[in-house]
Amino acid sequence: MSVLRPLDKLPGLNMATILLVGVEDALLQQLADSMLKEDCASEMRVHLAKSLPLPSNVNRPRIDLVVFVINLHSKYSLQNVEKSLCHLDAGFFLGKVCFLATGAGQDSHCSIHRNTVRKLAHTYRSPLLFCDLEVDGFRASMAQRLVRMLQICAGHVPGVSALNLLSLLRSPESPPLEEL
Amino acid sequence: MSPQKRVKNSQAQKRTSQGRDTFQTSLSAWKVKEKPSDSNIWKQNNPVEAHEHVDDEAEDILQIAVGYFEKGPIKTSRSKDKILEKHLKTVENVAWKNGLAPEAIDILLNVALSGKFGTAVNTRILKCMIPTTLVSEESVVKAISWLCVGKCSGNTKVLFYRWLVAMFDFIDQKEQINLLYGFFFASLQDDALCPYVCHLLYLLTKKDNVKPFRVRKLLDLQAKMGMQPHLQALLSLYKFFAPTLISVSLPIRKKIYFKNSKDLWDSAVLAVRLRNHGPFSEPLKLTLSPADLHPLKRKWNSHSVIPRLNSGNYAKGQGKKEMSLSDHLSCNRSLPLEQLQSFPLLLKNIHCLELPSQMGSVLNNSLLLHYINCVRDESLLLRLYHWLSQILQEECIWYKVNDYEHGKEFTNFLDTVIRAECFLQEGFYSCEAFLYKSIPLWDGLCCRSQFLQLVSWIPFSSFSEVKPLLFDHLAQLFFTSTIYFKCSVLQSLKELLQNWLLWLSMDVHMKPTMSSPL
Repeated sequence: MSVLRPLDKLPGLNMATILLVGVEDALLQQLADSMLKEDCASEMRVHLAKSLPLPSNVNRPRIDLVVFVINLHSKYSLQNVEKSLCHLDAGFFLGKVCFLATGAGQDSHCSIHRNTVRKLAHTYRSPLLFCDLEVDGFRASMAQRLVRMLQICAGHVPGVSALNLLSLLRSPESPPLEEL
Repeated sequence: MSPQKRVKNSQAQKRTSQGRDTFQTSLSAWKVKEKPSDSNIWKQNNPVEAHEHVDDEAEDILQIAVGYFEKGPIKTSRSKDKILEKHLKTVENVAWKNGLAPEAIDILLNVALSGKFGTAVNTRILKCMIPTTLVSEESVVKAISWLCVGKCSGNTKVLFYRWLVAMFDFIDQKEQINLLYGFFFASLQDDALCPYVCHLLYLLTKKDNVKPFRVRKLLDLQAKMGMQPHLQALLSLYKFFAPTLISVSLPIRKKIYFKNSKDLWDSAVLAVRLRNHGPFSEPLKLTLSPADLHPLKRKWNSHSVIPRLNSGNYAKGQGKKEMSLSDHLSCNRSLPLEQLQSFPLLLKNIHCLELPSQMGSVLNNSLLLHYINCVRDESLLLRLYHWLSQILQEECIWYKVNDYEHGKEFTNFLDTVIRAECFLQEGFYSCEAFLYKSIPLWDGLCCRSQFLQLVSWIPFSSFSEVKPLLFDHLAQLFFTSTIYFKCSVLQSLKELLQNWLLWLSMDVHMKPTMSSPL
């Protein structure tokens, strides 16, 4: 069982690699396309995977940011992500992991409560982003956001490291929001 | 010309169809065939011929269909089913595409409620009863008179009331319908009709409709049926108009009173509103003296969801009715809102102002905003907040994932709300709740300036309360966005701070002896 480690390999020159993990093939593909359309000073690589562990025979560059995509409409998606989290080295959780929950806009279709993913993100000390990936506009702005995060995690933004960003993005122990 | 002919036609039908004489159908068939010649004359006056020709043909088919329904069922062979189906389809197509003219609605309503055809046909007719622009009051009154005869089934009655509630805004006047208040009230007895009649009464009630015997009746019904939300709604409304009559305590923060019984016609209603008001134009500036208030020709603010200002009491004629001495003595006469033109007039009439049945319409009217600011009435604000939170929830575009085109409308609506907040110099509770609920889902781009302006109007509260609800999510967006977004956020936070300081400084002036909370 190979565990993905953050500092296994040497970084490529001006290269930033992001790994999107999730069962929703179509959504991941669309998100990857949106990201590749964005302007990025570094050379951006997007890898897609259904789950971890990744096959070890492939030669791949060092991964700078892992995004776990959870579809709130499907419990299987959450289970898959939870299983994959075990195959990630603890070093990743210092700012190089992010959770992305999709489908929150349609409350009636959600089979996973938002607080479940919030607790998951809180357990792993990583930021949680919400975005309805099916809508073009929202997907495009999320792609922009991920590109910026990727640049920071790859170390291409002087003065800000992944851990810095994590401490800014993470909210401390906050109670779940009850119905107002 | 032709509408009059058709009305007379229907009158003739009513008189002679009492005897169910099938021979008179040939007369009306002849009359219906006459229509094409009328439309030919009409066609000649119009320069655009090709388009009109198609329209005329569609008109003809519709008129034939309507004429068929008017005639009543012909007791002949099974082929009538096919013809019936064909005509029904025609009516439905026209209704859903362009809406039906008021005269057609008149005839079809009578047909549906008089029970000439079966329940299935009546249901289909009622479901497609969509007006082009408005529904005339007389047709509604005539339809209601059919309810007394009892020829239609219970389900048809329920559907009719649901239709009435859905199309309530499009009925041109409501005076006569208000006179029928007692009839509607009596229908509350029927368990099946009760929720829908309650909804209708909720829309229809005015101060003088609230009488002690009605209150007693409602309380009896409540004792019989238990605490039903629709009865509660009506009781709360009565309590608002006449608080002395009701001593029962009612829960005030109730979210939804009535089930959404008008969902059958939601898209149609939206289409009619768009037809009435035209596509959205630039938002008007709120001025102290609202411009021309003629109800029919008013050019509305962009969003079609904000209801039209309608006091319901507006007299048809332009001249004032003669006031009798008793009217002068009693202060019961209330100023219809359409006549409220200027600030001095507001001041003179502030004690007898009749509020609109749809609280949302105050958002467009600066004088009414002044009014609700001064009047210390909880229920007024509650009604407004309730409507506002419902609309924000329903129309928010990042909830309606498939309706991204509504973005512009929603943006305009938010602009209106923000202008109202600016005018009153304080934030609405519903907006605050909406912000806290929707900021985790916000992508930072959609309606950005409106959203950030709403942030700057959040009422003053302690930092530890606001931080997890607002600032943490805002921080997430802040640190991963462009520099422009960061500047906009800083700007709106600056404005928020300014508003808080202003609020606190006013507070300090008012209570100089108390120590400030800071």
